Amino acid sequence: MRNTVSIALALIVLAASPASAQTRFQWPDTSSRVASYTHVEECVAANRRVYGAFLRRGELTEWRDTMPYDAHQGLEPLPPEVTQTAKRCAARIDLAKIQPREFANTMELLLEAGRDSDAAALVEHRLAAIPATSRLERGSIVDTAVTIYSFAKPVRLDAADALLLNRAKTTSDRIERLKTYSTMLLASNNVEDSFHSTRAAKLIMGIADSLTVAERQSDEYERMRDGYGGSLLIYDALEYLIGKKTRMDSLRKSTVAYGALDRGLMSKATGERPEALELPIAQKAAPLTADVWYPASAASTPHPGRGHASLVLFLEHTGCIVEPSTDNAARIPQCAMRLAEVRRLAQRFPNLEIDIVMSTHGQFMYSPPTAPAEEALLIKQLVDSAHIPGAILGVTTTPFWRLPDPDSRRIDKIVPNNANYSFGKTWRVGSGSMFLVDSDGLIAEAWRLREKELGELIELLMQRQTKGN
Amino acid sequence: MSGRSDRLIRLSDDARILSEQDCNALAKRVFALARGPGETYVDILSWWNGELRWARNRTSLASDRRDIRIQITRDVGLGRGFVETNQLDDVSLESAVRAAERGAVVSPAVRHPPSVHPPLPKPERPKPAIWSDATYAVTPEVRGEAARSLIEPAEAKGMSSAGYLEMRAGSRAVLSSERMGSTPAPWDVPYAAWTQAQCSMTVRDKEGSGSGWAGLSSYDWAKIDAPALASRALEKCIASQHPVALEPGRYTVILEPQAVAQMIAILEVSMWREAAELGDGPWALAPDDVLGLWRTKLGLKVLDERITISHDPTDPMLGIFPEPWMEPITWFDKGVLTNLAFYRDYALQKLNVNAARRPLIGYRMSGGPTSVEEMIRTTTRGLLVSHFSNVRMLDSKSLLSTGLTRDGLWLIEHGKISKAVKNLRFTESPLFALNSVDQMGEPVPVFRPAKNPYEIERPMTPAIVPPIKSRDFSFTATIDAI
Repeated sequence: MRNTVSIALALIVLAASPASAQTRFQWPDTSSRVASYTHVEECVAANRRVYGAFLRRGELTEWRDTMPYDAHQGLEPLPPEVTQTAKRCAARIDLAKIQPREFANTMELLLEAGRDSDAAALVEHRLAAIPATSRLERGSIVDTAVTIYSFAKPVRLDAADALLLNRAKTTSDRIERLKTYSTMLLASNNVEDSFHSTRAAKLIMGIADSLTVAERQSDEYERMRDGYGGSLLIYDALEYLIGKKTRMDSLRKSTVAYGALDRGLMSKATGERPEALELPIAQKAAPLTADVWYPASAASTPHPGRGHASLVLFLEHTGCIVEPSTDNAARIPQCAMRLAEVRRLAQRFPNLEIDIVMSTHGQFMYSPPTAPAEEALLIKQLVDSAHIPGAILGVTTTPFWRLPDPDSRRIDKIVPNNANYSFGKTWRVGSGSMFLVDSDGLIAEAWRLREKELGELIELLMQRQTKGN
Repeated sequence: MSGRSDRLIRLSDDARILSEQDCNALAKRVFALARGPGETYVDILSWWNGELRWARNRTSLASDRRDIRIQITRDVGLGRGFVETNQLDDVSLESAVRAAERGAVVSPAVRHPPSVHPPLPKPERPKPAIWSDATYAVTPEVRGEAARSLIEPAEAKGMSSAGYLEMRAGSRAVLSSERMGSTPAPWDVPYAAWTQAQCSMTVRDKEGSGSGWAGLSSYDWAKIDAPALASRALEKCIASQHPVALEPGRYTVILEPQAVAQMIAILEVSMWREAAELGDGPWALAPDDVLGLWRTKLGLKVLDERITISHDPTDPMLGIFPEPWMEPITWFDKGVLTNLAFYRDYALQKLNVNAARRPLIGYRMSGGPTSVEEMIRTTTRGLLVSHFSNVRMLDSKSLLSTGLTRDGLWLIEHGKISKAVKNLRFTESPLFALNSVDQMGEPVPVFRPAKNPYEIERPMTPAIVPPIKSRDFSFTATIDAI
């Protein structure tokens, strides 16, 4: 009997031992046996499998979308298992027999294997095979190569830069050149490479100063910068060239001065008169309205409040939860990232007022349509789950009307908060929009800053506040 | 070994599909095998398929098959893994669960579950008529005898017949470890069982100059008069012998119910609201620049005003698989487009209503008082169409489609059928045909077979359709095939 008890106890201990738990979800062998592969496509696919498994392992241990943006991630090398697989597979490929259709895959594989000189030779070889008169075809090859260089790990900015500059020199189409420099500016900004960013910005301004009206009104110009238009590209370049120090000095002086600087840059970028531009910076931040405030005591004071800096964040239910009414419901990474950013800023600056603005939509996730008060409670739970210390939540009931039956679609009216924080045709408030408001109630920054830059601005506003400036 | 065999599920002839209790027990066995936290889903499908096929008056296939398929889904951390198996012993099930867990760990899709979980709504499901003991009771011997009685009349007339009899039964349940024994979520599927029966027969003469077809499907074998179908196919074959070629062009057509159903099948895929609101398909009207959306044709008259197409899930003739929030629906009311299909997800977000609207699957089309004989008598010159084949859409906006007449096409002159005609290719939109209606007859059930093996997961979708006479129907080529 005693023996039986001992065995039973031993079994229980074994079953609950950490070793047992560790082997429970043992990582499967995801290495690729490339010995039999003879085609580039097979090698690239094998490498993507290995890299995918590596990324997946990482995703299981850290939610990147809740971590600060790391610009240097793009400069990190590929994990050794990926490089090794690429090397072993690429060694089996005879570069002399590469067909034109295999160009992109081969170049990707060579970069993953760390054979940069072979990749460059491949590009040259490919370009040499095309007559100099076939500019369109040559341009396409350069674009492909630049994209591969820009998205390679680590990013190969020098190689991309050399190709782009060469291409820009050989084309007389100025809009085409602007697009080329835009690619450079974006790629170098993503990894915070100031050398390449400065050069790209200067090249952009070299063209921007002499753009004709026809060029500014062209469709290609309007489509630049992800559809925001070439003017915003020029603004980006200008902003980069005047430098962070100048901008920060200006804000240190006053938000009005900062706004004037921004207005001047935008005026130069668009060719519009400064006073005709509808821009948010240095505008009075309208008081937020809400039908329900959390905490309830927030209803008795205006928000954003005076005498201290505030961060106003607009969120929308549909911008935060994807496929909300199915079992595939999941948080949208951009929303999770925004909330995590705000949480870190709130923790870093306890005196910063955090105002989160949401409006009802008549339903929440898979629940049947709910009354505004019930929906407000669910919204509160959503915001609470982000654990932002001291956050104030204002929920507005969205007025709406319906198209006549049998269509019956719900058409939401614009709520005052969204109307008050939209400026002109370009600056429309949406889910994730943020506004930094100074202690005088002026908007000091809007929308587009990364967490690191936003933190610097908040710090500056706090210093101004302390000095009573 | 004994540990494996004593847990095997063997379906006897009396129990060819799983009962609700069987499904629950199987689900519980799977849930017990899961390691660690995380939701487990099982999608259990069991089916039986008894069929007899014949060609040239001789049986070519007689089978009686059954299987159980279980799909196991495991949520582990942020990943989700799937495994499908039909091996239901303990060892195999455990292997499948482990495989699903491994799949979840390496699955590329990362799901960050929302942190807010409102109470689950209670879905209401109708109880449509989709089960027939008469269908379930049909044995291979009964199918053999039925086939013999269908083949003999054709053989006696020196004709060659081909066709099939098929009886099916199925059951499905999608259950979650989180909700066993409690209120199911809208995306769960509580146990449902159904039967299907279908009979199709083609008769051809030995010279290959005439062909006749008849067929019918229903959940209930007792509702299919197989000898009457055989007789109809034979009559059509005899009447369609030695056809003459007719110049293509626009003709008044009398479309038998099967042909009308095949035209409406083109409409079926277009009946989605979201597509119309994106400006796609025939039901988008025009963009509204002020509101920044697409207006649809909902509320507009789009078909002949005598046409109403609707479905009531409690209609004993029109049972379809029970989905949550499945209410009676009218898609076309006296020619006016009144409903398009949408998922509940869309309804919650865009309409703020707790509903879903199914597409045109089971339906009843309104008819009229005119018999086919009367339609023929009142036609000066036209064509009588048995049915179509190879129908496909050419243009999703106008629904312009093409297809072939088949198994009997006749020319009508001065109120009488004058001769059999070689088959023609039509190039026409059902919207045009259903807007040019002269007369309509009594609606009757039509043949709506399950088209592919995957449809075994759902019972077939029934339809009740009238014959119609339509003007200026466009035929564009002559076809030699009978």
